[in-house]
Amino acid sequence: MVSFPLGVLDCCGVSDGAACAIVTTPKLARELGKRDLVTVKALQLAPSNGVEMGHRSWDGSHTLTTPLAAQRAYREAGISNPREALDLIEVHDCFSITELVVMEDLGLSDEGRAPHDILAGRYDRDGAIPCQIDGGLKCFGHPIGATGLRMTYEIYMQLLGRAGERQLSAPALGLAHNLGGIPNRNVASVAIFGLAS
Amino acid sequence: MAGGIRDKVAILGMGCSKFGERWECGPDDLMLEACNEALADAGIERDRIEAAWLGVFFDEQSTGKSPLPLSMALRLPNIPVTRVENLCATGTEALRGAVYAVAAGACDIAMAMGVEKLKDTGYAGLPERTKGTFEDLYLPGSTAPGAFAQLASAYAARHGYAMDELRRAMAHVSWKSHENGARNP
Repeated sequence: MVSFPLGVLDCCGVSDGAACAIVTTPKLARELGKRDLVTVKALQLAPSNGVEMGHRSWDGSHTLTTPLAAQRAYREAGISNPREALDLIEVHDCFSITELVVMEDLGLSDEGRAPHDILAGRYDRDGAIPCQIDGGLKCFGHPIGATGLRMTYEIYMQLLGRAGERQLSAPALGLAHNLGGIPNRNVASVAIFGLAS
Repeated sequence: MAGGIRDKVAILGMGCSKFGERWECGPDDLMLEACNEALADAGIERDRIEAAWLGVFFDEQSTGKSPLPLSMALRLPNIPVTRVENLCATGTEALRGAVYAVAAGACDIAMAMGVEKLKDTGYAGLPERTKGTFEDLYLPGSTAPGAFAQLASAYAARHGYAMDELRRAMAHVSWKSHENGARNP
């Protein structure tokens, strides 16, 4: 037991790693010979502003920032129903409980229903919205500066059909979520990537 | 009104180093590994990159401050490099810099690099020196597992779950990720 109720396998480790993206305009990407294009649909951030610790409206059972970043990102990407639209997600599973509450904060599970959805396999690789298809922070560890780009890498590879043994069937839209800090004082990011039409 | 960045920027190439215990190399080796894969994927020469953003979280324990770790590791041709940090969203913040530069039309091709080298720093994720917004050494004994464990207690209380029920769902979360990871050696 690390910190009740989190056991060792509920936690991610620290590790070493680097990830890199090179970005350009869709026009130049096509001129450089790219046929299938992955474009950025949305990139949003939401930091805490102190309400969590300064006001009793927050009860500590979820994060205030992730829903804000998610709603802005869905709007920027033109997504009205993320449960239908998203084909895969990578979320900040620093601890298993974080992933569980984030499913509700992203609007993918109804409030109070994430445990049921998880146990029903909704976020498994063969579920409605596969989550952490590459193994997530649990398997990669968390080299902090690299993690967001590592998630982007997996979504990019999946969208282009290059994910090998773990390839999903023709995904078109993916989401990467990070939660930095601690539940009462944090910054959430939501990035959405998709195949260009 | 601004319309956001939707479809204004494409990913030309990506690279990802092997993650894990990389005792045998330094952050510059990790960045080179990720960069070489990204350049090969993009099909461009390094010198076509016009600006870069470097995401590093730990200032002094890991890779170091400033743009220099990236600029020097890749021997970039003195292009603008900006180091960013935004807690665990640091990698995404680096991407945001590069994406916004292209979306703004400030440059045609930009790079985002994120790196962290922690295993040989002695840092294992437990307490670190903290710097509060208003007070130095704010919550000095706080740890990530300690803070996140409270999410579980609060969630169980709010939604009326027995802790064993909640832990069964949490175990499924971890089982699923490890099972997925086994296909990604």
